[in-house]
Amino acid sequence: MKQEEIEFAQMVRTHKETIYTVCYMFANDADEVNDLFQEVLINLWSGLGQFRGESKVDTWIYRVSLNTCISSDRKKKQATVPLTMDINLFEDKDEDTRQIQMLYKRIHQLKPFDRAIVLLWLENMSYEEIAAIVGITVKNVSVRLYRIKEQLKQMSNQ
Amino acid sequence: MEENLNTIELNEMKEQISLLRRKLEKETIVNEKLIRASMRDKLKAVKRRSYILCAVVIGVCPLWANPIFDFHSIWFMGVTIAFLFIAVAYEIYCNQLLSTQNYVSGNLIDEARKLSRYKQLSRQWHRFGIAFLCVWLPWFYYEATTAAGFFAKNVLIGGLIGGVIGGTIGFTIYRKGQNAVSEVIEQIEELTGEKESH
Repeated sequence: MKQEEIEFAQMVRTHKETIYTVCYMFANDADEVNDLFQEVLINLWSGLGQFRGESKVDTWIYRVSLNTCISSDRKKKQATVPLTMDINLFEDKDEDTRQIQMLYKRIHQLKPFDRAIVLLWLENMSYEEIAAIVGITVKNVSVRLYRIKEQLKQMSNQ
Repeated sequence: MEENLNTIELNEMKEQISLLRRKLEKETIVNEKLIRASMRDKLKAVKRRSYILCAVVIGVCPLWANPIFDFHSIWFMGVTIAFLFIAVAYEIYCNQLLSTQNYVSGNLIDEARKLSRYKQLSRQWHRFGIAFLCVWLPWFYYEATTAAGFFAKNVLIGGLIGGVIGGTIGFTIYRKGQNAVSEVIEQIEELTGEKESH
């Protein structure tokens, strides 16, 4: 393996949770998570040469992951290599997974951009960072988050 | 505003996302094989489709010019080949909008706008394609039944049936793809509207 490939593999392993979380929140089932995950890795590798460290690595990974998931055309594909997972977050029934499924259900009901905004907010990103990634104003981030909060409240009341 | 956001729901969600991260930390998720496969596969599926289309057109053109088809109408061959080349050029042009370079530095709205433009162009192309086929198919039938030799006639009629079946399947796949991004496009309009109003 070349040095660049070793670094890429290391970066993917370090940030696997971020990539998986985004793919999970945009997918409808485990197969789709697989497909999206693989698509994100391809895009990360393709764009690695252009990443010059102007932003933080995790911000860049979020940007590529969200762009991939939002813009994916959702045609049924078949990932060539399956993910290595001992758990199934869509089907397992233990208490922890039940909590995660509750989170999935809440986020998945939101529109795609709102899903992205709330995910970034949950990762404790600043309004400025969220605004830069999504492409809206800081004020608009604040307005959207307020509306998302209202939507989530309504979901809980239903 | 920040205080208002700290509702029970959002605090609970923060705990749930931490739980998800802790659970994922224990998992391997990515294996060597997957990383290697991703590094090999630089080409997005949509670009791969363009290259396949180019290869098909380049492969088909000599067939049309082959004397086995025995066409009397040079116009028919010319129009068909011209259409295939225009299809390839249009596909390549549309795919410029889906460059992965933007995924790296572009924001979500800009990228989704490009996707929306791509879908719009695809829609226009399909409308033109259907109109073209409405003229081309009867012409093809005429050529196959009157102008071509016996062998070519059978091949062409077989091709016509295959073409109609393939076209129907292709159109169904295209419709599904168009519907999938409509939600994203709707929200861009909503967010753009908000952007302008603040």
